[in-house]
Parts: sequence; C-alpha cells; structure tokens
Amino acid sequence: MSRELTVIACLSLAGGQGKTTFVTLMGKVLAAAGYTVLLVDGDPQSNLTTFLGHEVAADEPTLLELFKGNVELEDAIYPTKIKNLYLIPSDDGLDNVQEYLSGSGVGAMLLKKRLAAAQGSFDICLIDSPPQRSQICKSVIGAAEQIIIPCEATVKGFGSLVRTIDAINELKEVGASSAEILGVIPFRDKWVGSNQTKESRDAIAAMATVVEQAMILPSIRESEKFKQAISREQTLEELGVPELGYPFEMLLKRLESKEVVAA
Amino acid sequence: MSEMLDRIGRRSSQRPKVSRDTSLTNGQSTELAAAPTRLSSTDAAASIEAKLAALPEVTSRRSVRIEKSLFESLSTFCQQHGITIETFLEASYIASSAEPELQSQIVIEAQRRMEERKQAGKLRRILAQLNTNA
Ligand SMILES: Nc1ncnc2c1ncn2[C@@H]1O[C@H](COP(=O)(O)OP(=O)(O)OP(=O)(O)O)[C@@H](O)[C@H]1O
Ligand SMILES: [Mg+2]
Repeated sequence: MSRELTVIACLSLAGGQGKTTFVTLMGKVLAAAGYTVLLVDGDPQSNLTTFLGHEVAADEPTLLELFKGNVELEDAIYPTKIKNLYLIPSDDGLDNVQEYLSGSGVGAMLLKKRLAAAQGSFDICLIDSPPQRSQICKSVIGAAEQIIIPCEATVKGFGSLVRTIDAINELKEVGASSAEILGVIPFRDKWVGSNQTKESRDAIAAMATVVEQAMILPSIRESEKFKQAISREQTLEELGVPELGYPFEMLLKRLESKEVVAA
Repeated sequence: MSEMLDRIGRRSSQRPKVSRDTSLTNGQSTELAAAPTRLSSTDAAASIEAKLAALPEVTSRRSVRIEKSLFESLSTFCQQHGITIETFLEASYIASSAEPELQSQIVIEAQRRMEERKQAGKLRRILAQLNTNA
C-alpha cells in the first residue's frame, strides 16, 4: 500500500510550552487511530526519547547521524512499545549538529531531504523541536508541511507565539519554508471550577490577535494528569481522564477534515 | 506493512555502529558560546573566533553587474527586507535547489540573459572595430 507522508512540526520558541508533551500524546493518539507515525526528537534535551521509554546506546544511530548523512533513514528509526509508533531518537550529542548545519549552507533544507525516504512507509511524521531559535529549528521549519504551535496561556506563551510566527515568516520570505500553520494550542489553560482564570483568558485573547481566531485550537488544560500520563507511559484514557484528551481528538479531526491525512 | 517498516522491525542487530561526542568541552556548544559570561580579552577573542568559525565563510569581494532596468527594483526589494543582493542570491540558490522545476525555469531565464549579454558584447566589439577602422 502506498501512503502519502505528511510532515508536521511542533514548534514554540520558548521553554516549557508543551511541545514534547504534545508530540508524545498526539503521537499515541495518531498511532491508536491506525496511522503509521514517525516521531522525531529534534531537541538535544531528548525529552521525547525519554518520554517514550527509549534508551539510545552511545553507538546506536540517532538523529545526529541521520542529519550528517552517516546513516540511512531506516538505520535511525526504532520501533517503540506502541503499535504503529516509531521514533528517531536523540541524545546530548545532537547539540553538535548546530555547527554542521550552519556550515553546510543548506541547513534549512537538510531535514526535509533526510526524511524524504519515509514517504511510502509512514503516514505522519511529527517533529519535536528545541526551544531555541537555532539551526535545528531552522531545519525543522524547512522540513515541515504543517506547523502546530503550543503556547502556554501566559504572557511568556504569547511571546513565544510571536517569536515562532516571526521565525516561520522569515524562512518563508527566503523561500526556505512552505509550511502552513495548522493551529495554535494554548497550553496549561487554567480553570478554577467552571471559571477560566483571567490570566489564561487574556493570554488566549492576545494569541487571537496574532493568528486568525479559527487557528486557536481547543486548549490543553492545566493538570498534573498530563505529567502522570507521560511518566507512566499511559494515555489520558488509560489514566481515566479521557476528557483531557479533547484537544488531541479535535486536532485529529482537523487533520482528517483538512485532508492532511486520509481518514 | 511496507518493506521498510518490516526491516525496521527486524533491524536491532544490524544497525551500523556510530560514535558520538556528547561532552560539553569538545567542540563548542552553540548554547554555551552564546552565554553572556565575563571573559578575559584573550578568552573573549578565542570565543569570538570560535563563533566566527561556526559561521559560513564568504569569498572575497566580486563585482556583480546587474541589468540597469532591474537594478533599482532589486535593490529596493532587498532594502525592504534588510538583505543584500548577495544574500538574496545565495538564499535563492538554496531555495530553488529544493524545487527542481523552479530552478530549471530560473536557469532557462538566466541562459536567455546570458545570450543577450554575449550578443551585446559582440555588437560592442564590432562597433569598436568599425570606429577604429573608420
Ligand atoms: N497540562 C499540563 N498542566 C500542567 N503542566 C503540564 C501539563 N502538561 C505538561 N506539563 C508540564 O509542563 C512542563 C513543560 O512541558 P514540555 O516539556 O512538554 O514543554 P516543552 O515545550 O517541550 O519544553 P522544552 O522547550 O524545554 O522542550 C513539563 O514539566 C510538563 O510536565
Ligand atoms: Mg521539549
């Protein structure tokens, strides 16, 4: 069966915006929906690799060797414990790719090129990115067809959204990106009982001044359950809080309705 | 299942072995290099040199001659975006390398311009000869 690959980057240029949380849980939701999913850990902090319970040995290929062209794509892809879910892992060594990318001249194009061979085997490639506006981030934007931006429902999160949109536009201007923004996901949206806190409401309203209202997707609520789900390697459903999975289900619907992926 | 997925599933023993540097001290971590720390002037120079080394080197100055009718709009365009004609050219080359169809259109247009310039050069030489012979 031949598949159409869609490359989606999760990007937000500040720390703690929910990128890795989103990629981990969304990857599981997509895999459970029957898509063959390739997750890429684009952050030298390698939290995604850890969250998926994957350990990389020092002599095993990672995203670094794939970037440098030292190994074939499939040598850097590992199955995870979850059906349909695969991973290109990272470790601290990925930090060294920065110099390689800035020296190569085609840094922005490189990841796209390296992932091209996933066409035909995977439906979706979901990339976790580092918080810095770095060479890796440039290459992630260059590789993406769709970009999802999680942003904390705070002033800092709003700032991250602005920085992220700027970075995308900058690469678009020079033709190094043709990515579409799939949506913005407010992260750690705080409610007290049935009332949204003023801070969350104001921050999300500010986000809607930077992108169209329709781009603001259902938020990820502030809750310790997400940390638990991740540390126990469970889904929100398995943890008994399926309602918290609403933003992921909605995004899946959006992907299917936009025909980004075949339903 | 695709053949690739099948191979990935059976791969564990056949992956190539690699070696990777995860230390902080070998090579310059860009994050560290960017950290605003107080350094002695020799350290500062070394750190700046290291940063410079990580940035792409450029060739010595070359003259770029642009068709007069295009020069103004091209310059304005670059000024508006805070870039130079050179960096625009570099980026266009990179961007079009990923779009073979666009790149071949560009090459066709460039070849047409090349012909025009050759033609103009030839005519200028003939004119010069006519003038000296006259
Ligand atoms: N719904 C939630 N409510 C509160 N905290 C959460 C929630 N989901 C995740 N967290 C916590 O928020 C923190 C940041 O999340 P995460 O690591 O996903 O962000 P990130 O954008 O990937 O960060 P970095 O830029 O450092 O990679 C983590 O400590 C995580 O456990
Ligand atoms: Mg992260």
